[in-house]
Amino acid sequence: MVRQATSSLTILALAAAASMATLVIAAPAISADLTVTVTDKDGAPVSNAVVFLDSGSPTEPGTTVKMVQRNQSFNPDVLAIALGTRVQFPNEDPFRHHVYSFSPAKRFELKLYGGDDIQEVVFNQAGEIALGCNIHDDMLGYIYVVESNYFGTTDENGTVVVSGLADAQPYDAQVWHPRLRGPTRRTSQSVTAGQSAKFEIGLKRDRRKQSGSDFEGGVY
Amino acid sequence: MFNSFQTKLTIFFTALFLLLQGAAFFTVREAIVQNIFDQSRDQLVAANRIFASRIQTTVNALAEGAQILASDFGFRTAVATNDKPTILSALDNLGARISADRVILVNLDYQVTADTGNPDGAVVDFPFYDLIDRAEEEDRAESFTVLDGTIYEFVVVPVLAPVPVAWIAIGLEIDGSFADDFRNESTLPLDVTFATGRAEVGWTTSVSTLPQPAQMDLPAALTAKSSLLGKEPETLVLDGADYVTLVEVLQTPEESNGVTAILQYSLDLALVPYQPLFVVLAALAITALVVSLLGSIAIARGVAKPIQVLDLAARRIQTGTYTDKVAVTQGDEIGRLGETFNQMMDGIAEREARIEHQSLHDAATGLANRALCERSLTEIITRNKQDPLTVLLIEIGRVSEINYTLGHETGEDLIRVIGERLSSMIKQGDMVARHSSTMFSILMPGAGADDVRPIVDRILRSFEDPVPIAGIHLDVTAAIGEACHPDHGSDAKTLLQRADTAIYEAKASSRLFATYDPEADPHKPERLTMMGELRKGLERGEFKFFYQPKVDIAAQKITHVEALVRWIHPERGFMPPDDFIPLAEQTGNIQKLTEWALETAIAQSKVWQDAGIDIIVCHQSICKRPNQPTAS
Repeated sequence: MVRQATSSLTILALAAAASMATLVIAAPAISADLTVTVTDKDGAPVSNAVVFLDSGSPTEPGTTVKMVQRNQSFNPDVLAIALGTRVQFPNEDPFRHHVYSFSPAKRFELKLYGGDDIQEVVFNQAGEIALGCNIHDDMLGYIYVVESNYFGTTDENGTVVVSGLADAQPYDAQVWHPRLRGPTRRTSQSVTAGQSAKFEIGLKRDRRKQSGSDFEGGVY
Repeated sequence: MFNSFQTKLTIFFTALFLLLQGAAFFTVREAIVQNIFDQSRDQLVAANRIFASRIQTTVNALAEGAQILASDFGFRTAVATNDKPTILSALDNLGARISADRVILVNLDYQVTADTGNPDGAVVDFPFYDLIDRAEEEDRAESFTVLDGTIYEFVVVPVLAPVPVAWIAIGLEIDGSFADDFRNESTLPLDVTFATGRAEVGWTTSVSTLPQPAQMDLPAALTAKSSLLGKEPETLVLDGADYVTLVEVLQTPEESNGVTAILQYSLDLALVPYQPLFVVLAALAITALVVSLLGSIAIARGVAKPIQVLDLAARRIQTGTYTDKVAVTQGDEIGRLGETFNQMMDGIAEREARIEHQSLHDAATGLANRALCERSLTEIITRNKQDPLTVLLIEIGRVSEINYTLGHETGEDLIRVIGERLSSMIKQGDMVARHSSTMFSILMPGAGADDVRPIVDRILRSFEDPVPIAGIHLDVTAAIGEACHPDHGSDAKTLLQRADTAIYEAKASSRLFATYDPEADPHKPERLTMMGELRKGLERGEFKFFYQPKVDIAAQKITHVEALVRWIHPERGFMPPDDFIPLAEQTGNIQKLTEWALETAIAQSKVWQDAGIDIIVCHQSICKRPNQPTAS
């Protein structure tokens, strides 16, 4: 399973993302957008789904993004990054956290740190990284590392717009979600730039019962 | 033996009592058994709940322990790095800490990566995918399972890092000690059995607190009684004993063999505490039986005894004894029956006395009759065999004539008056009886022939005066015959007969009184023989006339002859008339003799007349009483 996921990820060339919902790319002259909407089987919008396209382009590593610990939770819940991206883990809570990952794509441990400590981790392997806190069992966050320049994460409406694509160019679009059914938690579909695409995915239940705000109701 | 009222009553009451006692005993027993059954059902349902809650408690403890381990950072590190020795030791440690029997780590691909029950085993698939899937859905899953032939209650929890990276399956083995513990916690003697298998393929007993033979019977009994699977407790017979049984088919994963919990109460054991009650009931029943037996015997006696007394009294009455009264003093119906009985006895005695008096006395005179006279005579003679006793028979003459001319009533009045007279003349101890319609008898015990003379004279004198009846003075004659004991007879009949015989003599005599004379008794045997011979002698011509001439002296001529009869008896020879004339008179043969005499005399006269001899034949002895009717 792990091997399979990794191999498929390596095929993808992903660019570094600038923001959570959209992705700004140093694009070719002719630029087109792709709007992808992700819903569950009931047609409800699914937020926090990572959408990425097989770009074939080399990635641009070196950017730095943040995964904030606030109110005893990870913010954002799901952070999609391009391969080689540096991620900071600022602690905005008045107490300390002990963030760790046992995921094969990146195993690390940030031992008890407070707001003054700068914690950085560089992710050099594509795949999902589940984040936890050793002293706060309910904290759960994901970093998803893609090998692509075109990717984004769906907003509360289940929509993401991927820009800078060659118009009318067909792509293999992939959607990953932490609760997507199946061993890789990923699904793919052929799309055409300049058009919109719909993904309907089956979700498992939300493991965290607590009021992690965004996680409530099973919809990110 | 069942004929006696007493026995019948006793048997009836005893049987009734036994029936009631038996019914009561079995009703009580049935009620107790039913009660125990109901109680057992309730207890079983409760036990089943206790079992479920006990399992739940255990499962919770297991889950809690497993979750603690699963969230341990070191353990998670070991799992993440697939550090098998560390994982195994941690699982062992967990198992020991919370008394789990088996701890298994399963990876996300359902593979067993560590197993305390099989530490050195190769990587194999965890068989119960379903449990893992449920644990993923619900953070925790538990189920009974059969693993390697052993029943476990498994709890599966995820190792979260913070998403599941592996699964801990922690198991409690359902073994003999589990069953024993469960049994020991129950208030009633509960039997617990865990069996593997399913309804379609049958069961195999895994662990059980049942006795071995009952255990052996259980699988077949379960298969036979599929209704038990409906969870309603029912009775199951194992090794001949009744068990109230509750069958709980436990939830197992699809991949596992089925597990069934069988909770049972032995009715026999449940009845043990009631044994003293049954003993007491039986003792009470026996005591009451004895008391009722004695009571019914006593009551039966109370009723039967007076009836037996009455029965005996009735038999006495049958034999004519009326003197013994029935001694029944009870105040109840039987007492009244006894009184009635006594009154009846008195009544019968009185009536019988009256009847007897009537049968022994003469209604007209109130005197004893002949029967009583004879009886008294017999009694007196029997009492005093040697003492003299005189019997007088008095025949009253002319009674039939009076009856004919003056009527029977007058005749009877006459007899009554004469009876009164006679009664007034005898002395104390003597007895006057009416012997026949015309005869009285007088018994004079202790009196010899000489002693009675004065009385006889007085009686005879009394008849010299006429008897006044209804204004008429009747002339009455009486002839008295006398017979004396022991000279003339030694029994009543003979004495009376002889007195009767003497009456004939008396009538012939001038005194009108005669004592019995054996020589004159026509009833003497030789005289009776002679009567027959006299008849034959007449026919054979043994009688002859001897003519005695009567001479007329003046005329010198025989004018008459007197014909004198003589009997020339072939054996006795010449017999004078005195020897047979009275006899012929008494027996009636005189008629024939007279006919013979007349015929013979007339025939002789004819002969003489024909011969020219003029002689008149006279026959003095016969002509004397020519008109006398033949006596007797």
